Amino acid sequence: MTIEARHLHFHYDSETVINDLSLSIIPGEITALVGPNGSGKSTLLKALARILRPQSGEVLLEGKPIGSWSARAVARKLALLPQSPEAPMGLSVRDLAGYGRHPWRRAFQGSGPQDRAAVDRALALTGMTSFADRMLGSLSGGQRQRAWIAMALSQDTDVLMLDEPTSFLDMAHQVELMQLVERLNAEEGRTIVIVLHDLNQAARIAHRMVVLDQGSIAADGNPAQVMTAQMLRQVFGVESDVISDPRRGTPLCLPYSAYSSGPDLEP
Amino acid sequence: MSLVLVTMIGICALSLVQGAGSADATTLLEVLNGFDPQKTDHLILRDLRMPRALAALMIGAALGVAGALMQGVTRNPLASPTLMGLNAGAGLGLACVLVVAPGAPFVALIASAFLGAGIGVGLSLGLGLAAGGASAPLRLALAGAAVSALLGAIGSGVVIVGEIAQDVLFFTAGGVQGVGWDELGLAAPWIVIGLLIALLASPAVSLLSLGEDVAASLGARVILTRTVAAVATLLLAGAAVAIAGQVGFIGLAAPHLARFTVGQDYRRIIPVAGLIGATLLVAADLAARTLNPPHETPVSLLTALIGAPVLIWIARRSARVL
Amino acid sequence: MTKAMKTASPIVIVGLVFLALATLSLGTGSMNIDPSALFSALLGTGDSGTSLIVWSIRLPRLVLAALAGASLALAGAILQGITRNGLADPGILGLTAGAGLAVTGLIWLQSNGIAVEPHWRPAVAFAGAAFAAFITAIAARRDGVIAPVRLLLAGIGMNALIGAATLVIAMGLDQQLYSAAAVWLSGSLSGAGWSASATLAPWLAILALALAAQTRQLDLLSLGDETAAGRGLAVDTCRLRVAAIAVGLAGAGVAFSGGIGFVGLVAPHMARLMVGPKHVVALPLAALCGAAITVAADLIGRTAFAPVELPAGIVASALGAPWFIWLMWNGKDQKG
Repeated sequence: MTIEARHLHFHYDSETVINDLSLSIIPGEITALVGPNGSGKSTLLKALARILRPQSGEVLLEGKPIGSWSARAVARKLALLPQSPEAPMGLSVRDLAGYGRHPWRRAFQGSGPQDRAAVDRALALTGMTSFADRMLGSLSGGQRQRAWIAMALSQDTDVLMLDEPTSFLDMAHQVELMQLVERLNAEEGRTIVIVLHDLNQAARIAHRMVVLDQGSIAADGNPAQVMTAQMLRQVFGVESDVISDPRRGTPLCLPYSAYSSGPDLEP
Repeated sequence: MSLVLVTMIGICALSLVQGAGSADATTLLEVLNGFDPQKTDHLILRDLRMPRALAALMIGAALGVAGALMQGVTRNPLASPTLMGLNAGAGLGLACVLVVAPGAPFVALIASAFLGAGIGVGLSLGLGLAAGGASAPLRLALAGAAVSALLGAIGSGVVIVGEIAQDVLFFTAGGVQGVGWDELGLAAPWIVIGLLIALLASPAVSLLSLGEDVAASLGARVILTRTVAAVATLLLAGAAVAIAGQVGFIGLAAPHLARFTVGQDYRRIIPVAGLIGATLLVAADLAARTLNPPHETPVSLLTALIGAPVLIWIARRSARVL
Repeated sequence: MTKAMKTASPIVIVGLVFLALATLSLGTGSMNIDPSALFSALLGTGDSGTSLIVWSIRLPRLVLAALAGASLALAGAILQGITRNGLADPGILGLTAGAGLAVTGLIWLQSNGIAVEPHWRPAVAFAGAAFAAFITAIAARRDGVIAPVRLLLAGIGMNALIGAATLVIAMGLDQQLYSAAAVWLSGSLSGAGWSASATLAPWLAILALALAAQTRQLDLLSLGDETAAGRGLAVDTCRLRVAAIAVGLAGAGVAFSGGIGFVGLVAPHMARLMVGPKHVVALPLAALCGAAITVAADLIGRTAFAPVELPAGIVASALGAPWFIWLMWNGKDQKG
């Protein structure tokens, strides 16, 4: 199951979002896409999932242009969870997870035993079994996010793409979610492409970090190679110490000063 | 759902046997067993009440389903034919034809109402969605109000200048009182086609209600679904408004009531909204005939009495989402 | 340019536009009157026929249009201030519909032999508008808070409900009164005499004076409830007070002219575009703009398709709705 982007180019109006970007996702790995706001992370993710069509360049899924696949066929191969999705609040967790079975069902076919099994497994993996009949509106933010992930999991795909799944979650829920992602990768062998805002989170779980800056890849490699004081200065405009995580040995950055006039900083 | 069905059938039967004139339950059974063209009450039942009840049934269903489609596709609890400038647009189209070509055939009237309705809804949706981005129910409602005001003002202008106030009265008051088998025959095919399309599209609409990106990542064809839903909405609401004039709020209220009974899945909401819409309009029509006989109370008043509280209830409940 | 000039010049300009429109309006009609004849007629030195047309037909109508437009504009300005939403308007919030319902009820009473003196009309319209405002506010209120968003939505619902009720009363009228009521409801100034203006003017004067005392409070309210409270303002009572003034103005404006839509929406925006948000200058300018718009709408309405006369309200809606749409398009309503 390979996904490869070749010479992607995107612009909204006159603003270039992705500029001649090529990237190949390695199966079985956790790939983290990081970068400052507006660097094109979400756009890249959506292009990889066939939700956005690039103005030029192409995405290949199993060697074939992704545009030549039907939406449904792509949805059986990869599941994307967009950033902060919103569902009708009166939907139950099980209903939402059940939507993930859509690509596997023909029109007007009810849910079969296979579908129910997939939903149950997704609920169990996300720890949502006991919340299955609760309405989304009655859940906390962390629970709701897990219900969404259950939907993406019941889609039963080799590849899982998550766009900033930890935003708006408190610390415990963030850690919990990161553990879930690692488990899905380690125990189920799923390929994971995840956009993360928090560099330290990305360095902790990812096999490979891809740093985007103004629509191009600024750095690409394992976290130890990528997370350097120089990269942080160039791409994020911060001066920082990079130390080793005492528990895991992965790099950990501690910013101490920002270039307030830096080109990549938010106003 | 079965409860809704039973209520609907009950109200339909009641609607057939109630009213000015002497036809009652036994007459209904007689007509069903063997129609006798010599008897007045048989004629009343067959040529007046039956088409009228059937029209109310179909138009109510059409409006309910149209509202459900609009709410699902736009993910907006306020999307509905009434609030989106459909009535005002259809009224304008009607007025234009009546002025330009007085005595135009009924088909032309329907076509013009269709066209006007399409313009009204298109403008409101375009304005409310394009400018506002995601989830802005208030914006959509205000866009609809503005477009309604604009098209309504132009329509009133045309009516006054063309001196056709009498001819459009049926439209202003709304209702199915004048509908016979002929008018019904013209509108019914459109409504049936629209209902079928809506049912076929309902699984895809259900996915769209989760948001565009999620729907796309689940393999739904977003643009196709939108287009199909828009066509179905226009067929349903356009045909309804062309036959029954300004019957407001059924399209807003029915989907919300459906959600109460069957939850958030549009595969169920769409058919149930149709049933509820049909029930509401048959009931409203029945009330219109029987409240103050022999006068007809305007159906638009009765549906506003149902719809306005629903609107206010949505406003109170969903302030956080708005 | 000094600051005083910056605020004074728009008022002068709008004032001149208003005078030009007024002159045009007085001079145009089934019989056109040239400016010099008009001038001498106004001074009472013209020939008697012209004087009669000017003094007893066109001038009262012009004055009423100006007064009604000013009332609605002020009401709109207040409502936009206290809801902190640029899309608020007496029409959208159901005030116009409420007043319309009350006045239609009055006409119905009249048709049933219970005559009410016409100078009570503003009071009845006020009661109707107040009733509608009260119900709308109750419907929009939740957890003790009236959120602007809910207020607008509840207003749209209220409008539909009251509109339907008005239709029912109107249909109960005989044919002649029905068409009178229908024309009135769509905002017509046709056939206005001096008595309407004479009744409206004192109402407007009193309410405008009451409003003048509240301009600084309105400025504070527009900063947001917390900020205003932090500056020592009793937010709730103050809002209630100015809201009552707005209801009174809307009721008075509607009482004799019917629902002239969108004047209350557009005029305050024009004023703010010219002089900024400070109420002490924006309010009078908004009133002037409202007067000018209504006079223009009436002028267009009675001349564009002569001899058929379009109610000014229809012209105002046809011109005002695109403005409203433009405002939405530009996202100027995002405030609050």
